[in-house]
Amino acid sequence: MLVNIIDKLGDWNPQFWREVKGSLKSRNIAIAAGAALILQFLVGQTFLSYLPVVKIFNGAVTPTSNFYCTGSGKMCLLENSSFVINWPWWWYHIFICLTILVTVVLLIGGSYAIAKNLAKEERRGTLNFIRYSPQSTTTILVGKVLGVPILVYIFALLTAPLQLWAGFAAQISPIVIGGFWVVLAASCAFFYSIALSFGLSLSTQKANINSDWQAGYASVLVLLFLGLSAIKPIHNNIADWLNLFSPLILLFHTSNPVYGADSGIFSYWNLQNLRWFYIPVGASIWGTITLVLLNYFVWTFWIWQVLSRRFANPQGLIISKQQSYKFMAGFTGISLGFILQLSNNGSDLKLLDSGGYLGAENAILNYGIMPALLNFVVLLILTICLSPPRQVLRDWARYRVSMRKNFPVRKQSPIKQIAQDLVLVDKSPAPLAIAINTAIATIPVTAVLLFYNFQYFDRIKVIFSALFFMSIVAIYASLYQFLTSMKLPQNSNFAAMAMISAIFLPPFSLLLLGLNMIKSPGIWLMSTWPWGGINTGKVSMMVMGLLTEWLVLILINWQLRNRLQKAGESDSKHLLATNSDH
Amino acid sequence: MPAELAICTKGLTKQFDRHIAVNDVDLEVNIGEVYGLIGPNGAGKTTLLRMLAAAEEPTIGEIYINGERWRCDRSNRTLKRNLGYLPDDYPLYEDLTVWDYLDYFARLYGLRGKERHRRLYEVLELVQLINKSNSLIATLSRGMKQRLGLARAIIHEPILLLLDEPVSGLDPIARMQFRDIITALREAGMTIVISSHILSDLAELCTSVGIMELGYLVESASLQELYRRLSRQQIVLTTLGDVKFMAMELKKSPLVENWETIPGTNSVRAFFSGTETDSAELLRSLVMAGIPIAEFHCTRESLESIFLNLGHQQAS
Repeated sequence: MLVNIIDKLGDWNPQFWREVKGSLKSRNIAIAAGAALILQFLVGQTFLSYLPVVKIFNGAVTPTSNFYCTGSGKMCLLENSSFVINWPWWWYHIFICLTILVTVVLLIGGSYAIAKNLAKEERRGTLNFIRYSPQSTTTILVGKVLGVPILVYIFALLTAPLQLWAGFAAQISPIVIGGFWVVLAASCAFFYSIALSFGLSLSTQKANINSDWQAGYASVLVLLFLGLSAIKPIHNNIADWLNLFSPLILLFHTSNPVYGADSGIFSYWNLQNLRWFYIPVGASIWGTITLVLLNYFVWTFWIWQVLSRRFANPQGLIISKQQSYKFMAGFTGISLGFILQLSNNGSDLKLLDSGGYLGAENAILNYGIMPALLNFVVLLILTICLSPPRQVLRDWARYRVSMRKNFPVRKQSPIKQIAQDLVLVDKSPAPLAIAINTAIATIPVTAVLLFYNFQYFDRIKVIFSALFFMSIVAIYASLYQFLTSMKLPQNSNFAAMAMISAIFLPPFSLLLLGLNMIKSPGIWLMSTWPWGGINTGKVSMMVMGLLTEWLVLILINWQLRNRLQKAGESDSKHLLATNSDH
Repeated sequence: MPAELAICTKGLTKQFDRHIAVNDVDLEVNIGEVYGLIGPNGAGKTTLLRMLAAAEEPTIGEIYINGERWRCDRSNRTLKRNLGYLPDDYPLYEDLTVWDYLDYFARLYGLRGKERHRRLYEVLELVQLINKSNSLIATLSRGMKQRLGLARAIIHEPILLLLDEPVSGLDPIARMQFRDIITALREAGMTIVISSHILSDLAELCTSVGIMELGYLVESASLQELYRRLSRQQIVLTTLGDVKFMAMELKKSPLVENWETIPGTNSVRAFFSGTETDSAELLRSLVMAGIPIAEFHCTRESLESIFLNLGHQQAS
């Protein structure tokens, strides 16, 4: 019967069939099942050992205190010659323990297996044969996601009954338990999609990296991400976004009065304060589930856009320029939700001040610097993703006119044609597209800062900060594209390293030279970290700094233009020029 | 686009840095043809085949398969279903058995139930691996793996098959077996494009040939046309008497363009431009002249010598 079911599933998804056929050997199933049973046995034994034991000394019961006893000061009360135990509280800990273990095993184990499998296939070249088949990318990758971690799924399924039993015995709401499994499924989809893209992208670039190491990197990243998002309390700033990536966030809603005074073990998360566009999503279980699922859905959707392109064409760019604009608009929309969460009259600030972390003095950090830093990181990643490699740039420069035949448009002036190419065509240089993305990211946030909570912000400084931000990102994008257009071995790695050095070296050098931001704002305004000088700098200094940045931007783009023009010259022209020299 | 063309490319170009691997190639292959691609290493054969299989994106140019535009960035299911491709390296899943491997690919190409089983048996029989169907792929010889690769490429009965150096590295018996399979596929009406260094094999299999050099398709014609234009008819003659007398008689015939003595034998190879009747007349005149003829054998120049005579001397 099992063979028939697998056979039918194979008709539905051949890739799932192949993975199951490879992994579902009786030895492997026994190992997975054994591991699940041993784990449950160990958890059960550990928690049993925490229970108090009745000890009789000189015919009387020795007074005992225990974490699970119900008396005052945790003293154990005797009833029918055994201690009264707060069983829901005891089951609650088993539930929490099993929930964390299942989450970690599912996410880390599954991500490792998927990243390793895909990297191995890509390196061997077997994935190409699947690409030649008429199956869609979605079918193949869904088959991988469902089939490769099949042993991890078996492990989780066998652990689930005890976890569910513990949950019900701990009197946890079925909505929370059911909601947790739905959120866990969504988080598997998200983290496994990351593992897929990790396996696909790194293996095509670094043929010398061992697939075990590669999968190891992926799982460590998932672990770090998961750990960080699971332990961070809510601070009512954009960093709260991170919490939405942890399926364990729902554990906050598991507290129950029957547990006694200690019931809120996750209360330090302050999830009740989580808001998004003023909506108190963290206060209710439904709000939390909805926002977490929405967050996973949006990110998984975008990762699959990347996967579809990467799988179909490993040499192509992982995201198109048009997709990048939509992505950035969506990203900015969601991030605004984390900025727009306090009302103008400051009544919420007082409330949040009692939390100790957030106050009016931190508004610039929370709503100005942190969103800018996040946008900066996202824009740098987009720069790397959108910048075509040297060969593609050369092809575009050389065959741009012929390529346009594929995109018939009405007659346009050459400048308009170039502009259209730079904005829409994936093979063209990326700086203009990055500049547009930067504007999409910066303008709405700046507008919000100018008109919201304005008592905390100096409008002029906000405008200059935004202008500096856009200029600096445009400089980095141009620099990266210029470096990738050079003939260097592994030039994309070199360009990335150079870009990172350009970000960090100048401010570190200034600090080492003892030129601090308060005393020498002018120099900082002209460096790659101009925000350092904004707080104390004069407007004239800021204008000078901005003009300097623009001059650098123009120079880099001028050089890039010259380089591309040279690359685009036909070989015969090159040959004729060489001959005429002789 | 003429419907009878299985493949048509227009200005197909692939550039790697300053090196143009395939340069402005206009290739036309008719339906049902076996088209051989020949050329030295680095001539652009593999790149051309990879672009035809949508494994490589052209820098510029268009590809039409059965009249339909073929693009690397689009998943064209119908075209993929009609295309089989065996690259020069053919990684396999060593952990699967021969049957499971082909079963997997049959499923990928949408074959279901009994049809899939029938096709699996058919293909295994064709590639002579039926007795190895339950063996692990890791245990197969190189020739068997090559045949399994071919089985994978044809499992879905494509109407166009692209084979890149399919017989390289095989021993003579494995090559012969492979040739027989291609002949069977040709008879089944499949259009086949095959690149190979072994020109004698191509001469036996192909109906048309394209010669590539430095990325250019410098020659593309049917084999008959190629022989007609570029191959000189040869007659090998052996005498029991003195070879000089035979040579003197040959000089008298205006249709004998040139001749050479085959060293160490009593034979002469004459390059003859006449028809079959003319060659019969030549034989009669030699016999009448009293030359004791032991062998009179009409033959043509091989594909290999045609290729060499064309002077395509690109270094490998």
